Amino acid sequence: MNFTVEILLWITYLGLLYILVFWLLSFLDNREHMKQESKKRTKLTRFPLVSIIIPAHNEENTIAGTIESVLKLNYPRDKVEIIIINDGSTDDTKKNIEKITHSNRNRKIIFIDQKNQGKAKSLNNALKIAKGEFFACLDADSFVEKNTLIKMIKFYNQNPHLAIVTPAMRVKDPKTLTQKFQRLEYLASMFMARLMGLLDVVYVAPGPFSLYRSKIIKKLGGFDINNLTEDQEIAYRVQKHHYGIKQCYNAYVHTTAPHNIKGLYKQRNRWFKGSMINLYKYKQLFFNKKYGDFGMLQLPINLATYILSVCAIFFFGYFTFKPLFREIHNIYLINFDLLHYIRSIDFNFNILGLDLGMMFIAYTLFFAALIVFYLSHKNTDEKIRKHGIIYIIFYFFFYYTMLSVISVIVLIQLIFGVRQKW
Amino acid sequence: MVKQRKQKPTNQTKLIERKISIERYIIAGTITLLIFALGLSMGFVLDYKRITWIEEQSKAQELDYQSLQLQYLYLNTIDDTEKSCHILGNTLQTTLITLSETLEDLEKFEKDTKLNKKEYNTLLRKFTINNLKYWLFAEKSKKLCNMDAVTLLYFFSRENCPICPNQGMVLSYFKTLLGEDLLVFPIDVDLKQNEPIIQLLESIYNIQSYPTIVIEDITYSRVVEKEELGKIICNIYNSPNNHCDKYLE
Repeated sequence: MNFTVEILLWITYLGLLYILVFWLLSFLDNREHMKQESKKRTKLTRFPLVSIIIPAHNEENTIAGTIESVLKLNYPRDKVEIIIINDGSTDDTKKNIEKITHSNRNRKIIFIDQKNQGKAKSLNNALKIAKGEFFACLDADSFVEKNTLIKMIKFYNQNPHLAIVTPAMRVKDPKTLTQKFQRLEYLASMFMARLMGLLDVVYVAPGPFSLYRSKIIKKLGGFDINNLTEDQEIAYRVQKHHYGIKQCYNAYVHTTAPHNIKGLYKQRNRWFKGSMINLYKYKQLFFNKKYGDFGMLQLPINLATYILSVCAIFFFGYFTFKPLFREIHNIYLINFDLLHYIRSIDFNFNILGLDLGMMFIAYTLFFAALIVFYLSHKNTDEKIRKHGIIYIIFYFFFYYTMLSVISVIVLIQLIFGVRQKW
Repeated sequence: MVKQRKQKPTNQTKLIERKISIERYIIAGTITLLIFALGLSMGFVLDYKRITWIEEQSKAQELDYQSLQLQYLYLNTIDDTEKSCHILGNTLQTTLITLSETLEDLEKFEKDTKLNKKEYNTLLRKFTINNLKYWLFAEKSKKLCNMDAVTLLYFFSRENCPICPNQGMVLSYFKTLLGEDLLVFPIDVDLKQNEPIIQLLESIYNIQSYPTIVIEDITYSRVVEKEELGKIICNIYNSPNNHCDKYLE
């Protein structure tokens, strides 16, 4: 192996291993706290008014279900204000909204019909008229569980400077391979977000039903309308001003995940691009002691994740395509005489030929990843083999490679200044 | 379990209490380094195991060579060469296969090693000498037993010859195709500074570039492609085997 490649590989292993070990230690340190949190039963003494904002752009298939899930929330009806925005849809979204608002005239529902202005602007428009002490954003392709809001509101009792409580996102009815992969990914993200919440380093407030303290968000100027990932930008801004973000581990929201690779590519392209832009925008927070673990650890990890993704793709190419091209070239040299080519392959196995040192580290890394995978399932009481073992194998070996490819494409697009629409 | 260091309160840190989990950073770093140290140690232990294994192989090669010499001596003293030459040919063939496999492993190990370059170089020299001993032995045996085999010297460089693997591939192909009728002796010219015999051979065969192959005292200093090499080799046999048919048309 080339010396530079070897050094790069060791650095990649070192980086990934450090991150995993750190989070596993964080879990061990907070295990008791997490157990207690699961057992704790807090009763709400006061039900504050909550505005639920649902921006919709061409969501005719899901909007009715989304609104209905909000209407069924286990929370006093007079304390829920629903603001629905039709953001210049060209399909039947508007018609479906009107139908459902008409049949629920006894509920506090405000309908804004506007020209297409984008999600962030729609949220800001709604925020101007929202009366709630808290407000939640709910993407029009997501569905909230009955007790989600009440569980999230309880978090605010404990901390007056808590600005955002994020939910535990789940993929709704995963059917395709891509959706099943995302289901596994979301489970891991949920577990990680819970740990991040304990360390005050949450860096994203997901679109599906993040709950905000209105006063703080208004004070900070609302959502950034020029940002590709306004849900991440607001989290960075909240962190910058030293407000809190926590995750409510059992407040479930079900979201519709892209069902094919094309959809996934489009979504992740926007996420990655937005994330990189936000990392650059908040670069002054990097390794800044004033921001505690957020500045010293989480932001560098966010950046390192992209660098490691690029490295992973490089290694994938190096260890897959390089030998493949060499073998194709070898076959070409002998005029494609495949029979004798196969006979000439040396099938002698010598255990001493294996790079056991490197393998030991790679397997330790894989084992640590499996522990996180197991804990992620335990965190949400999900069965590991719900969709069969084959998905897990593909998830570990191909899904992250695919995501890494997307992040490399994004990086290239950013370098060459390719623009991205929301 | 792990204590967290609290930041001194400033105007900006009055809202949420920022903490730096410094002890956790250190513990995580220590565990990571321990795992790395363990991995590296395994690599070093493996490296020494490899050297021991190659040395054992080398001893076995020495013994095989002595056995072959004994057979040769015996053949020189008796008349029944037909039966005994067959045994000698087979033994030589088996030994050369083992030698070539060990040499391949050795070259790979030498490439991977971080600490024991010197030891591996010594072993590579040892194997190159063995190779040349076998080459001389094969030439002698060919004459004694009238073997219809082609011997081929292949000069290559691992360090300064990116096209050498192309020649290596074509040679492996013919070795698979022709089996014991083709005896290939690879010579790593990167060892010539320490091994005067390589310099001597280069001078005898007038070798200035790599790859070079020498077949029956004729030097080819370039990549000899499949078709051409097939013709060269097959034309040397007194009774070529079936695989040579297409090269002799």
